[in-house]
Order: sequence, then structure tokens, then C-alpha cells
Amino acid sequence: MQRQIQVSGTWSGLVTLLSFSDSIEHEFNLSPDERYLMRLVIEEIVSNIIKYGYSESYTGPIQLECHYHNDTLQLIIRDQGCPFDLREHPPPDLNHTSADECDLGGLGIFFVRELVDQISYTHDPQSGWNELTVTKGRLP
Amino acid sequence: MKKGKTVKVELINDVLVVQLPARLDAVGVASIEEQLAMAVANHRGKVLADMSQVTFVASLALRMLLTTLKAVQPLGGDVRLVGLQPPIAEIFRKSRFDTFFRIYPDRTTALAAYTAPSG
Repeated sequence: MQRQIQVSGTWSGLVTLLSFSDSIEHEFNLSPDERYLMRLVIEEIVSNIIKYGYSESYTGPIQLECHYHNDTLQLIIRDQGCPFDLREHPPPDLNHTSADECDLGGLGIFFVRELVDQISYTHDPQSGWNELTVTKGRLP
Repeated sequence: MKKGKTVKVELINDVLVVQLPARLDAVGVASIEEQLAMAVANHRGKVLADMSQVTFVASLALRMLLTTLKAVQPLGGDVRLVGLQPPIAEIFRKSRFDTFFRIYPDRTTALAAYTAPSG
């Protein structure tokens, strides 16, 4: 099964993507864990693209492609913002003992990395497209 | 982003009990964070966030809860959590947010702990 959608790189685009996630979780008959994962990946990755990939002066499209075959969920997210490979992002400091000492940068990315099985990323300098692919389940 | 969803807030003895909605994603957080911040700022004391209805949290929701905690701690208050469903408890454990908050299984236990002399 496969579904795809394109939205603008704005908060209303994210709202549309979260509704899209609702509709396909039923269509794909996903397990509760898979539903959680899909929603989390969309929320965290797309929020990052809107906040850091694009800017107030420049926004562009965000494409989401969802594939589900053989109990494997694959999400492909494309944008034309600043290149960002989340695999290279340092993990947040989670060894905090009090709220004041906590560095929360990258918490959403940390969740994505913890929960999925495989992450790949490419940036095409010619077209400007970034493509992030995350996979949960049996790896190809 | 749509706003206007209301947080159910009640006062039990001196504890402000806040019932959080099912989905604490970008939409859910945007719809409640202003009202939550205002209720907590007015109360200036003990807060209990009932998460028994919550089925989804993202990093934004954790930040909101931490901001709330930071707002009440200097006033001698606290934010405690109750009723985390297993996937939510897992997110708190992975992020070590379970070290920021006192977490109880249900309201009765949490309210009793708040009224206990050491609580």
C-alpha cells in the first residue's frame, strides 16, 4: 500500500499531514505502535523542517510518502529547505538531574532515532531536494 | 493553528487538577498551552496533570510540561503526573523526563501524596 501528499512547509501544512496520518492509519490497518511511530515521525521531522529547514522569508513544499508492505512501514519526507542530516545531529543531554540543567535540543530527533529501525538521507545539490527515509519493520 | 480546545481544570483541596487531552501533538499542545499556563500562573501551587486520557506525546508536549514545572517551582509549587499509559511512560523513560516529575498511577495516590506531611 502506498499513499502520498504534498503540503506547504507551514504549521497549517503540518496540521494537514497529521490529519492525513489519521486517515491512512485506518487504511493501512496499522498496529498501535506503528500508528504512534508514524505520527511521531511526521510531527518531529516536519516541525524541524518548518522551524529550521525553511524560514519566515522562504518556505517551500513538503512531500510525504507512506508505504506499508509485509509489516514494514516506510515514510519518505522531502523538502527543499536547508540540508539537514539528522543522523549527524548530536543527541540531547539526557543526563540531567534537574530541569534547569536540561538541554532539550534535538529531543524530537532523539525520539525518531530511538524508535525507527533504519534512517537514510540524501540531498540533491542540483534540485535542492532533501529526502529522508525512515523504516520500521523488516528491513529490505 | 486552531485554538480553543479547553483543558478541564478542577481544584481538589489545594491541588489544581488538569485533565490533558488525548493527543499532545502540535495541534493538541497549541490548543491548550495558553490556558494551561494561565491556570497554573493563577494558582501558584500544587498541580496534578492527569494524563490518563493521553495516547500520544511528542517532544513539544514534554517541553510544555517542563515549562509548566519551571514556572511553579520558584513559587514553591510542583507539577506531578498521573495515569501514564504504557507508550507514554516509555517516552518519559527514554527521554529521562521521568526524573523531572513525580509520577503516580492514579489520582487518589497522587492526591494522598500531596497531602502527606512529606509530600
